[in-house]
Amino acid sequence: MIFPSLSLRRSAVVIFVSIIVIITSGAILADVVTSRDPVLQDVTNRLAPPGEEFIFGSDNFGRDVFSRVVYGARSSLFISIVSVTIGTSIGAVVGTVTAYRGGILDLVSQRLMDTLLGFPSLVLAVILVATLRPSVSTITIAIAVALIPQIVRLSRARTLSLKEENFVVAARGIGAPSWQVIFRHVLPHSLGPIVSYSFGYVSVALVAESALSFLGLGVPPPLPSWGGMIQEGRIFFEVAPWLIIFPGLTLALTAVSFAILGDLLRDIFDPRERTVHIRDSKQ
Amino acid sequence: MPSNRWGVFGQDSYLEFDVFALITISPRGIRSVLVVGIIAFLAIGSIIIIDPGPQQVLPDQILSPGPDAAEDQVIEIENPLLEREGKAGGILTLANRGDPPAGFDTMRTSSIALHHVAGALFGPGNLVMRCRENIYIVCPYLAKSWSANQAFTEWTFILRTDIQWHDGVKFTPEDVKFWLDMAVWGAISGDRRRAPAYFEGDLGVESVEVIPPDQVRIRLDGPNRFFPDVLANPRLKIAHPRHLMEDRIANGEISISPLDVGLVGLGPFRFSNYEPGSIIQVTRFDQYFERDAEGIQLPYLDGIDYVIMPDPLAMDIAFRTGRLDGGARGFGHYLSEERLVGYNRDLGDDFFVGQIEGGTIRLAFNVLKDGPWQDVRVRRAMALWIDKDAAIPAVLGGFGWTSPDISPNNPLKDKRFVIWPKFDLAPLEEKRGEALILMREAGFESGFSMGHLCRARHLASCQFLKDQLAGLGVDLILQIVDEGEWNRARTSLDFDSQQGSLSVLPIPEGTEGVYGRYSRSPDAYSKHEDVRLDRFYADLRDASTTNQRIEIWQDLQRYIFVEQTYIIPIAEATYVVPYRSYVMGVVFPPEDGHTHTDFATVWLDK
Amino acid sequence: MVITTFIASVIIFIIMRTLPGDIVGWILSGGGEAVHSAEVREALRNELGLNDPFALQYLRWAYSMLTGGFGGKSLANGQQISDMVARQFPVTLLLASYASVLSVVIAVPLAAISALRWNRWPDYLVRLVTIPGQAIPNFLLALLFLLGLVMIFRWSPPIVYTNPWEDSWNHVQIVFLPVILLAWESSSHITRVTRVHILEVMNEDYILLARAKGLPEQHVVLSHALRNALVPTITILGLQFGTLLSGTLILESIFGLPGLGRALIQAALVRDFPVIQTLVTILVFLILTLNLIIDVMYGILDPRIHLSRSSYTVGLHIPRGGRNLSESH
Repeated sequence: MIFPSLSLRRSAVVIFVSIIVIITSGAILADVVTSRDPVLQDVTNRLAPPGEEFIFGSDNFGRDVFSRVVYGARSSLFISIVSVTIGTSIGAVVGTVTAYRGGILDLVSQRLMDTLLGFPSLVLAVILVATLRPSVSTITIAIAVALIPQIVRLSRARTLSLKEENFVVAARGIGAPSWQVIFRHVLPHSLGPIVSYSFGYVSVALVAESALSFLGLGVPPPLPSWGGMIQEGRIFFEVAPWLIIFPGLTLALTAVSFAILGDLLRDIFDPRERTVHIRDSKQ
Repeated sequence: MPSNRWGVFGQDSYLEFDVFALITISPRGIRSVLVVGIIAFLAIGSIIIIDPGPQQVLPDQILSPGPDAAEDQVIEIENPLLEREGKAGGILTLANRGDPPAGFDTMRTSSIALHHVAGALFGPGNLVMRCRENIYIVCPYLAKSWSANQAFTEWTFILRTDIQWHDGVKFTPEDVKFWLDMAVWGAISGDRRRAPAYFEGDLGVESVEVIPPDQVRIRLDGPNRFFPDVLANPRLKIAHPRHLMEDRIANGEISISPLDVGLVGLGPFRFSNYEPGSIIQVTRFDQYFERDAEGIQLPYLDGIDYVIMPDPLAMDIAFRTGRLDGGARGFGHYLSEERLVGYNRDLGDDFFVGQIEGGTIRLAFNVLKDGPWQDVRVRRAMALWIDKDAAIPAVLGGFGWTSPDISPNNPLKDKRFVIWPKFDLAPLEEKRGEALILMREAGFESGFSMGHLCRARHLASCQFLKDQLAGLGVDLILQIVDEGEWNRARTSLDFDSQQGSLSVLPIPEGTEGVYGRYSRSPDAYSKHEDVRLDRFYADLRDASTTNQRIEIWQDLQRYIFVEQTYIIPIAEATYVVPYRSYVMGVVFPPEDGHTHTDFATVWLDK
Repeated sequence: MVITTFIASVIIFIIMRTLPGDIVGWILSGGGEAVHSAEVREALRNELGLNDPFALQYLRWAYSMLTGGFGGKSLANGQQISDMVARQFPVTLLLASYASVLSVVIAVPLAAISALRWNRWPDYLVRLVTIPGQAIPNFLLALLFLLGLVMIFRWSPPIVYTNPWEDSWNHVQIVFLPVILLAWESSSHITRVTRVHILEVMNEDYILLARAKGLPEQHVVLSHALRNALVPTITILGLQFGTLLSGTLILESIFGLPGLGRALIQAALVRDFPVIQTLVTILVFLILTLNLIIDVMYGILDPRIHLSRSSYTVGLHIPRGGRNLSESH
């Protein structure tokens, strides 16, 4: 059962990267992967079990579940990846800059973040989606905004400790302007762990979209999204479990892959990883 | 027995309807669902067939004044007898869709979350009620009889004198005046003003006068032969005790709600406990005035627990493991064929379902906004194109009926409507061919796009319509809104079309708010300024016989659904409510889920 | 903290008023089933004070908050918000506390195992088991759990919530499923973060020193690394509290728990302004307090951190700086 650790990690990376690659390319090449229209209804064929005609079965409108899962990847992946990217970039910059500059700017941003953290993130997202009306882009924005305060917190803390590090103190000492210190020295160092966390947030965003769907404020139908499919299929679970098994499994697999990959990336890119390697090779 | 003609007829077509609905069920489910259906049928039947009810007088006969009738018509109606042997005792546990909004105020809200509970607390009606035997007939409730003047502008109700509020205070005509005054005019205290009841417009009340010791005279702002029918709307429950509210309103508590005064009502059950978000408990009111045929005082039950369960799946599971005796009323909680599968597997014969004709799914146009839909041919084409039968399994969970409006059992319904040419009878292919021709004539053969306001809570019908209309080249752009925004947008003019859903009344009076023109009723599903509608409603108010009403109502429907197609009726839902088999004596109204929620005649056979 | 809460309440007020629509239509229709005239709606809007100037509405609410009225009455049902808070807060707080405790109890040992067997199969196994808790929507897991119980035991949890001091057995039965789901979700975060930080700490010089002294690896991890890695764990727990509240929101409506999350989302959907304002203000206050407590605990767990420096350093404060080694170890 015990594999050599390096090859286990390498194979884990390969597995999870390939899961993500397969699902992502399925989303991009959806037109090639499936010839069926994901929104076309055929009520005479509703709730058909998986079989030759419908690989993953059909839903309550007689739509093909397989092509809905494939096309659903488009909206689900878009929402989760883009929202995390936006949330991380804004959050990291705000957190780093305010922490580095300190003073009134820091104070104001902290109060704002405290307030946003006071809103449970789902409530915040619901309010935003309700204001902007649900669409793929507004949901993306809403989830990004809900993520920002958490990432600000993370990067702020990171920056505060980096500020005391020798190389930053040194850079300041030789009179580099603060923007230069921030973008050349602080951000690159604080970004590593934040990026690896952001992989974990992709799974959070995927689940957040499904929670919005639970309230009817997810990706507007008939456009498929995994969360929306799970919510819609929920009441049919006992007669047509395929309605949520397939999107549910795909969602879970994707989310798990992103989360674990985030950890692995952190392990790989962490500069002090080397020492661990040495220990590993000794064992 | 001419009096029960409607009831019996309704029952027949109910059976037909039942079978119709069953055909669409998957083969393996048929037998079990059939059993369930028969049980349900028998349960309703036991109420209607076994119990012939009192000799009711048809509204026609009551209310058509003879050509030379000189004096006021006085009509005496006896309290209906309830010939059922109930076993006393026991607590009934029901699910409730949510917390009643607006402090249980029946003047503020028609939410089923309130009215499922409010029947037990405040009774099934007010002065009058819809008969338990036949909801299309008005029965006495707090009033024992009533009469109208010759012009039907003044109605005098003689109240029972043996009625008490739950706190033991005697019920008097002043209470009725207080309630009606508040409903119609609201209240004023200092510079603060209480809004009138939402149904104020339907009543047309001009003044209310107390005639001691036991009468109330209601003066209307115009003739209305069917005022008791309007009053018998089960949403109009008396939940406002004068002796507890009057002083507090005078002291400035203008928004006082029934909850603020401890939910003291007149119904068969008295309030005992409310844990918001969790449970509402009521217990038997020992001084309740209604009695069954054998003179046994109602209600039979010791109490009812309404468990608040917002999630329908949680309700299913709790019911199936025996934690509930009955399901909730309310769209979303009514059962579908698919959910029934689990019920059948876990409970077999240990439960039955009651069926109530419910609200409709519609597509309503905003004709006041520029767009291709201003052309009646385009609207007509869309109506002809939609495959309405497909909506029943896809949107209504298998329980529904493709009719334009109101229940197939309704005596006021136009039975022929269903088979009108151009509406339902022609084969779909033919209708679709005609639709394409109409679109071409209107110059939109290449199609167009149209916004569609859609509630986040009811996404299924929007998806269905979008797919259907895509075939005609109409690109429906779904604008999904939450509850707050839905209630703003649907009464504004900034949408193209909306999902007009739910809401039916068994009587045509009171539908002006749904079908009338915008400047008179901004809440109407369809936004138009068609003055023809004013005339239809004026005619309805002036009608002197039931047949006249039916005719006007038919013309109105034909006009609005076919000739002008301001609204496309798509399908009508059948509400399916589960109860355990030992729950006896539930009165299922043939339509309108708000009716008969008093549970006074319910008993437990276990 | 008071000032922050004040600013927060203003921000919430502004956010809520930018939402389209108001509660009046919802009250009158109670779910879209009734029809009412514009006059009735306008009159009700006046009655509820929604037509007053925003500043007046805010001041009225703030005055009520300051005088202990908790913002007055709910617009939706006329209940005193103080009553609602008194009833709903314990439910959610209990739920979140059970879940927090349970998730720490599960997560920290798992993280230690994971770090100890770093990059070997137990490490992967731990991650594969914990991560689905966060990667599968909890309403789906709730459905699967409930149906599983029905099918195997013909049993489902009670439907009426009771507080533990009223009927503790009923309480246990109704909360155990949601608590497990919440704890699963949050332990997956905590496991991952703690694992990472144990690994980071393992690279610190003082660990190398401990190893060099010949201490067994288990001892190094458990007594040296774990203690230091607990600091970020506590931080993440603080951050998680908000996430936990989001999680309770859907579970509360599925399991019939009359808690805060459900009330909050309902109030947002129907625009019950005073309720949202009060609840969120309280939550902000709660989270600020929690952060303060965490800061104090930092000081206890890690003497290198001084409260003065970091009264708002509540993010992931990762102790690095091996140069201070000699001072603390």
